[in-house]
Amino acid sequence: MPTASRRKATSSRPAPSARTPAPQREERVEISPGPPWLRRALALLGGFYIAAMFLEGAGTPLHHVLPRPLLFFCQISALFPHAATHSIEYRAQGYTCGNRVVEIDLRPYFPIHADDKENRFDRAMFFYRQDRTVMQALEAFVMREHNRSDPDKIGGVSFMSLRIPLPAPGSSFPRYRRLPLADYPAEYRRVWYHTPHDTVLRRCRDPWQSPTTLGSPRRGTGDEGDL
Amino acid sequence: MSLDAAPRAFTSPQPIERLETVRILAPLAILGFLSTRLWHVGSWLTEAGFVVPNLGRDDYRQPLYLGPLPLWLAVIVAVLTVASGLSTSLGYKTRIASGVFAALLAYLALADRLEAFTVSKLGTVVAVALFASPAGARYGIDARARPQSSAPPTHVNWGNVRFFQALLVFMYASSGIAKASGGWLDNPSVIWTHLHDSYQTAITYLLASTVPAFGWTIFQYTTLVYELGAPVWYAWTRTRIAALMVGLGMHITIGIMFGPVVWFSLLMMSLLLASFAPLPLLARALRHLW
Repeated sequence: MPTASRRKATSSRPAPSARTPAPQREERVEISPGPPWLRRALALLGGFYIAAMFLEGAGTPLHHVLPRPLLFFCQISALFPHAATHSIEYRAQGYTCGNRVVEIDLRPYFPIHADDKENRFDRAMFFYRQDRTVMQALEAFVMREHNRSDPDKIGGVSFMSLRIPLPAPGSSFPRYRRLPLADYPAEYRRVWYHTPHDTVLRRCRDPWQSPTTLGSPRRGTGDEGDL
Repeated sequence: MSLDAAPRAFTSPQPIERLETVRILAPLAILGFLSTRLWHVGSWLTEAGFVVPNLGRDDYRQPLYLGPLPLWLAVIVAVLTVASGLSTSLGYKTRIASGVFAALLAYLALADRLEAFTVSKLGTVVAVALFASPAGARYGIDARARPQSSAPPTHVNWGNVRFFQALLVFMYASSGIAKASGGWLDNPSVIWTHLHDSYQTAITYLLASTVPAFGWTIFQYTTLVYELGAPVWYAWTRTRIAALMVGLGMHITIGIMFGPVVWFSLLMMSLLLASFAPLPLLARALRHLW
């Protein structure tokens, strides 16, 4: 703010007796920018925001009242409201054209927070694991990245969650570390999306597809199987 | 205090130190959170990384679809975000900087749901509030450039401080209600259940291996009482300092035990300190800094 306008906006006022804390110094109030009506409107807006944030977190849905982009910024308070039932991780397997199933190390393709659950793959699975459109886009991305760098090309994927049981309260347990998928029992796994076998075969044998374009699955064929 | 004095006290001018503490600390916590994302901005905002496609429908997970950026533009967004955040914190061209910072934070929060966390949303709101305030009038580069002949401001309009105070206490209360209705009253091991995934740090493991189960239950119910009662604890002067200590302790614990959540803890601690720390303490710290 320019010095001149700030000086103009600064006023000296006597301190009312009820003020907290009682000022020990001469009070010079820096007035907020804008005309008085704007300051009043902003104060009102601030009050509305706090009320909306409170109601949304306390369980009063406001999506019929507020536009989604505004509501989004009100959804900040309901953190960890439930107990975890399992320790959950998301993993991917690739179906190679050599007829093998391999775990795909996704960390090079999702470098942001690659080693914890804030990485983009985990977040995509957390939000969209039942959304076919997003899962197909995720499949295309993982295939593109894998086939670009790995000589063992894949023609399809499966995306799954690992539901690892929690230790009993107070019991001893090993330090968390990421283990290969093969180290977990099959009953821990739940597959949310997979490429059907015939699609994998078609992609792998199609002479018109180079290894790189293997990473771009066809859309809208409707044969991607149940999620 | 008489009944008519209470509203007057609420709407009386507030010490400028509280606003300037938010201005100095909050952008740093927000930038800390963003740092790992901004470092990989190509994987975040461009088609070099995975981008959620346009869902084309009313969906809570995609409040607004904003398409991926070309790499050069993503880099400019990243650089501007860091520059405007630092500039706000330093109090340099604060009005413009905080406006740019707020706009970019809003864009980053809306552009990609996968990287939007509480810090993204709360950080945007804090930046907008700073933009609408006279932040930077003291304890910053702009204020230093002011002629020595004019006395520095001591207070700001009530709304510039009361907003952050009310935001905090009602955020806690709302969170407490969500926890109480979500299982924190029935299950004494809620916190224990969250200690075992990839957020786990060495300190988490050490504490989880040594603190008995009832210790986690005590922590759980202390958190619940603190959050549910926050409007009372902070409004009543007799409990305010104790509440501040509990709040800071809670966020320190969360910060060291849940890996990446440390930036959320730091943002909340900066708002807590700015809003409720004893004024002489804040004033002394700011004078020492500037």
